[in-house]
Amino acid sequence: MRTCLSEVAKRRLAVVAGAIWLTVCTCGVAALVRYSRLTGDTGAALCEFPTDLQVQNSDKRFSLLMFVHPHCPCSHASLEELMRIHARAQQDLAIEIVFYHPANKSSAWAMTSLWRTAQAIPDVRISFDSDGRTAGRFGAKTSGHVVLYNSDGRLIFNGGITPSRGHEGGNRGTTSVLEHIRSRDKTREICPVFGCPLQAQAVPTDASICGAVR
Amino acid sequence: MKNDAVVCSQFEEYRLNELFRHQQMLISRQTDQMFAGLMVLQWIAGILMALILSPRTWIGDTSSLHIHIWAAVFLGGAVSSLPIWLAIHRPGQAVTRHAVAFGQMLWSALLIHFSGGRIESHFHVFGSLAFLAFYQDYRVLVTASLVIAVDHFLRGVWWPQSVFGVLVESPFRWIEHTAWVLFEDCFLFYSCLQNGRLLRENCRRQTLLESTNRRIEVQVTERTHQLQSEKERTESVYLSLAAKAEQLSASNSMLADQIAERTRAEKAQAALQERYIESSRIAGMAEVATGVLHNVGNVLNSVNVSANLLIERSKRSEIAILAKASAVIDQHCGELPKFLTEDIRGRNFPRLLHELSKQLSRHEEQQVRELENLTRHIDHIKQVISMQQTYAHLQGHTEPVRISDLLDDALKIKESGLIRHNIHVIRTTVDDVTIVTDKHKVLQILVNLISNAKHAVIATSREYKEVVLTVTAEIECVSISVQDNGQGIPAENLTNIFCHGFTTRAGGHGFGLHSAALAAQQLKGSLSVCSDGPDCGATFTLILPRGRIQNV
Repeated sequence: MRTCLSEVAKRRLAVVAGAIWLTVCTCGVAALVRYSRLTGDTGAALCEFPTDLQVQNSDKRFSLLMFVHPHCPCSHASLEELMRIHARAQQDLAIEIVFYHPANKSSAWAMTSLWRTAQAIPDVRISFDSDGRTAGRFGAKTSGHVVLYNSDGRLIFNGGITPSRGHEGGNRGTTSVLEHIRSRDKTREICPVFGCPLQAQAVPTDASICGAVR
Repeated sequence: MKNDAVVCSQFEEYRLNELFRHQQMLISRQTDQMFAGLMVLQWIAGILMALILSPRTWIGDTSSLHIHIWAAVFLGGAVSSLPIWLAIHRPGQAVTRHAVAFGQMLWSALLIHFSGGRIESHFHVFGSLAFLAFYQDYRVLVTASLVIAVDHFLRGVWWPQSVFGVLVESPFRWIEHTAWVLFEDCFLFYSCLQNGRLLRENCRRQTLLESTNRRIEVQVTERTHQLQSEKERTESVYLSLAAKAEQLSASNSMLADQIAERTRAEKAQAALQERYIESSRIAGMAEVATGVLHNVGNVLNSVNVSANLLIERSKRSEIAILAKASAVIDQHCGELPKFLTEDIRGRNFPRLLHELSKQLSRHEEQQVRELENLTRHIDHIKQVISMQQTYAHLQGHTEPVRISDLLDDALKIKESGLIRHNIHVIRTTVDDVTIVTDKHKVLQILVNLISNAKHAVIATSREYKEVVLTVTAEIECVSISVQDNGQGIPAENLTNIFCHGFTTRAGGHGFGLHSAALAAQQLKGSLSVCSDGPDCGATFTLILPRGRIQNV
């Protein structure tokens, strides 16, 4: 009788343990997914491309700037998406990748795998943004933030080009950028940015609220 | 027989299912072990991936440990823990397989997540499904596919962009993803079913093989037992034979000694037999001679009587009267007529001479008769002696002999005794048979038997004494029986009657019947006796072979 009870207890214990395991695993994965869905601060981008800035290959009809934290692991996905965009629209697109660089750090601090990946993309200008001033000027606060300006210097896309944090793949941001370039749609698109914050404290910005306008 | 076949078939079916389950269990255990290792490797790979791809999260120039590290360590450990524990402690069980499938799919999600959603990392899902197909249990694939489907469904509902990359997505997009999984599942299901069939077929073959082996084993066991029992029996027989051989050897040596002794005894007996035969022959001859002498003696008595009679009659002869008459005539030769006529004595002379002649004639007749008797007796003596001489000189010679002649001779030898004691001899000879034999030995036997019969009937107070001689001819032999109505033989003496030295007759020496039996054996015949007991008479039967008639 004791043995039977013990067996029953063991079975119940196994069921409880299995249920706990299922719960823990499911909740853990859900939490991880939820973390990946945590968006960064999209911020308010400049509605007009500043005239004092010169983007490489400015003869192209569109100018795209991506602000990247050189150590942000999530931005690999952003660069991957950027390479897809570049592959499809490089004849119309002038791309500059702006790497955040604290002033108190050497340039080697910024020469990470992200920087080397960016270097491998042809016809892309790479620059270092000391203390994130340029990013702050454009209102970019999260690594992977992309702003797209048309030939008129008007902002037509503001946001991220990844589906979630550190995840590449089809997403509304990439699709939107490519559609704007292909259709020359002048409507402004804002997408969430997934990545590490560029700075702990927000820098003074010239950006005005430039929301989605259709 | 049919029931045996059914039982055998049921047993084979049971064994087939048992083997199939056992093989499935083995496959499941092996796959569990592989997945246990894979879980560990995936855990390590996840941690390494997190460490390499997303070691730290940054804010400006400050960083902290990335949540992926914690997730890889703890969540990955949690995901791997239960499948590993079950694989170790509950290998081969269904719950282990399904836990492994669940954990593996979670690992696919984790690795995809850690890799930043790289397309290539999605191959982990399909690879994992193929790996799970090692279980050859489509239900495991169902579990894994359900995990994927539910995961995609829930993500599509709550965080569509995390999976599909777009914020606004079709509510049925998860079905497309699941359909690709099901696409692979179709092949994997088919593979599982096919492998299951092959496994079952292999198990069936093994069952048949085991069944065959079992039957062979049973036969071998039975045969071994038979051989063992045969061996034991053979060994016991061998041992007994060895013991008997030893006994036989001992017996042989003993027998050899006995044979040697017997040989010596037989030689001695043969010599003795020779002596017996010789003695028998001598005794027989003596018997015959005795009879002959007896008969001769009897005849001589008659001869003596006749001679005495002749002498007495000669003494009482009338010749003296005739001489006296002749002297008277000489005295009166001158006056003979006167004397014959005048003298009274002369006148009686003619009557005297007449009477004398009559007397002399009578005496002469008596003497002639006596002389004839004498001559006859002498002839009888001559015949007896001649017969004795005949039998005495032809020992060991076989010749055709008429049984009636032998009986005549035997009876002649014993005639006087038989007549003297007023013994009636009856001959019931059926056939006048001629056989080829040694007639002297047969005569010796017959004389002995007739003599014994004579003594047997003499010993009784019976007035009518008879001896019956019967000859019966058979195809191969002749039977001569001598039956008497004498004193008979007690039953206890019948077995010893032919033994040497055995006799019931006063004055007998126990030699006659023994020698007669030996003689019968030498003639390749037999001598037997039967008697109903005392005063019931006895019958001796001599059986002789006919023998080959040569130069008859």
